[in-house]
Amino acid sequence: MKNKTYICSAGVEWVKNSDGILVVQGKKSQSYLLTGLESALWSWMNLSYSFPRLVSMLAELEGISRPAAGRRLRQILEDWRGKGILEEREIIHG
Amino acid sequence: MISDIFAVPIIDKYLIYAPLHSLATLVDRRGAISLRRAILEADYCPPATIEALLSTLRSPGSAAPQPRIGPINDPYFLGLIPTRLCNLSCLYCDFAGSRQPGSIMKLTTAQEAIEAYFQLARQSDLQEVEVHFFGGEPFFAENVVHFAVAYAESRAQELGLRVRFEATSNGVYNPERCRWIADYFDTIVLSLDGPEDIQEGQRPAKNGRKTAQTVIRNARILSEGPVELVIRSCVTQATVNRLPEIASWIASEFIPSTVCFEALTPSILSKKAGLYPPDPWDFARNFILASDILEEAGIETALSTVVLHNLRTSFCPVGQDALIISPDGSIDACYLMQDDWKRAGLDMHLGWLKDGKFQIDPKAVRRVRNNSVYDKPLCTACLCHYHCAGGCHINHSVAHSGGAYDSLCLQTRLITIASLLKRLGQDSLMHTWLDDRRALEISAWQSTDLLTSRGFFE
Repeated sequence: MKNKTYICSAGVEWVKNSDGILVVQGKKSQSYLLTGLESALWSWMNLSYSFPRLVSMLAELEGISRPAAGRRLRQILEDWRGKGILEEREIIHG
Repeated sequence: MISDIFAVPIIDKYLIYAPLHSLATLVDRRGAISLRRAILEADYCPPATIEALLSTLRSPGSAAPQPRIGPINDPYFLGLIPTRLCNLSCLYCDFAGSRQPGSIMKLTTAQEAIEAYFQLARQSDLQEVEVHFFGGEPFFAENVVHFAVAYAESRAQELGLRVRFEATSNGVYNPERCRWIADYFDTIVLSLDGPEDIQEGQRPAKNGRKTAQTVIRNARILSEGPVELVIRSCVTQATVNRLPEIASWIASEFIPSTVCFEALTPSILSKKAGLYPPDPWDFARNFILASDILEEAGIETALSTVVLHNLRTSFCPVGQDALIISPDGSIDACYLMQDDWKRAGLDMHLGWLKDGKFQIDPKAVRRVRNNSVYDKPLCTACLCHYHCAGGCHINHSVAHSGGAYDSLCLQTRLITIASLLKRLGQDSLMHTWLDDRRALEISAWQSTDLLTSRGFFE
């Protein structure tokens, strides 16, 4: 069985400041300020919450259904992949 | 009439303290007698030095603090109890983990509490809000904390509020979690009783695993992060004489803003474990020695009953309209448990979080606010009146007449006096006094500190 997980791309550093989370993609010399929902998701992701747990917390945070939260989460993760700050990995369970 | 002037004998001198006038000074016995006469006798002409003191005392000064009135519109903070569960089995702690149901706060409860609090803050035009987490061990239900912080940050940003986060924690989590705490929290009160042998001896994990190394590692992580670290150390009869050593160890290992040394509050469990509160004289003496060491490292030393920077009518958030939410949505003024209040004949329940709103009973608010120092006969004539304010409403009995001090009173009185002497730059006198048990007893056992009391010098 294969599950997906997400990790920060190589060369990505981030720092929490009073405005949100500043994510720096060193290779592309780009930085992104994540605020609100994105800031919450980034911090939870880095606390190694599983995808289903992220969906459930996002649903509560936004007051939306789990399926809607799942879609929203995938959208955000795709956006981060596009920016090169996140990579998708497959976890292979024996 | 000038009131609230306290006088305490310090060897051959008197410490005069007028908290409402922010005045502390040392005079000799003759000076103290003159001051008393000048206050009580209209036709008495005091010497010039006392006249100068009197002119300060005759100025308006601060108003005596009063319990709050009216509806709750400026809560001291919002308290969230994510769970009463705890992963430690501290030998002296019978207040939470061991006798609490294992409920965990629902995310919606945390969310609704924060929303209701922020709306109240907006209605009251508050700019800053505070969310405090208590337990058990709050991070034992870490997803509640992670969620609540994210929600509060996001909503505060939308509503233009500045939000502070504070938690009281045992420090047992992995480094990744600890770094998150260091990044997101403004203040962490970390329970760390001392070096490994003390910590291990007093605060073992529930499964018997050792935890000292984990807590010490996390104290280092917190020291390096932007969070304010407050170390809280529980002091027992067995550790009291090690306070200077504990202070040196903390100063060399960590970067806390404050170290809070608190004497053990005895419990059934602590007695069973053979742990007893420290002797108050030893505690006071060692507290001051420890505070000298910490001061050199730029670290403040605190005792919860000796808060000199403000005047208060209640020792704790009780009466200051803190709203503390339990996992079941109960809104209380105190984070201790219902059983504890009941045992003390008190009711700290304010209402319920229901349908996303605070449903608070105004009668309950008045009842809770009435727990003030003005209702504590033991405290009426004590110089710590506006600073200690009688200590914990639940655990400290003050239904005695003036002078019937217990251990908590004695150590509070001694440390208050020592702190005032230090403020006056009288370190040398303070240390001479501390080394003189008879002098300490005369100061501490004085039944009334009010200079204007009948027969004060008799």
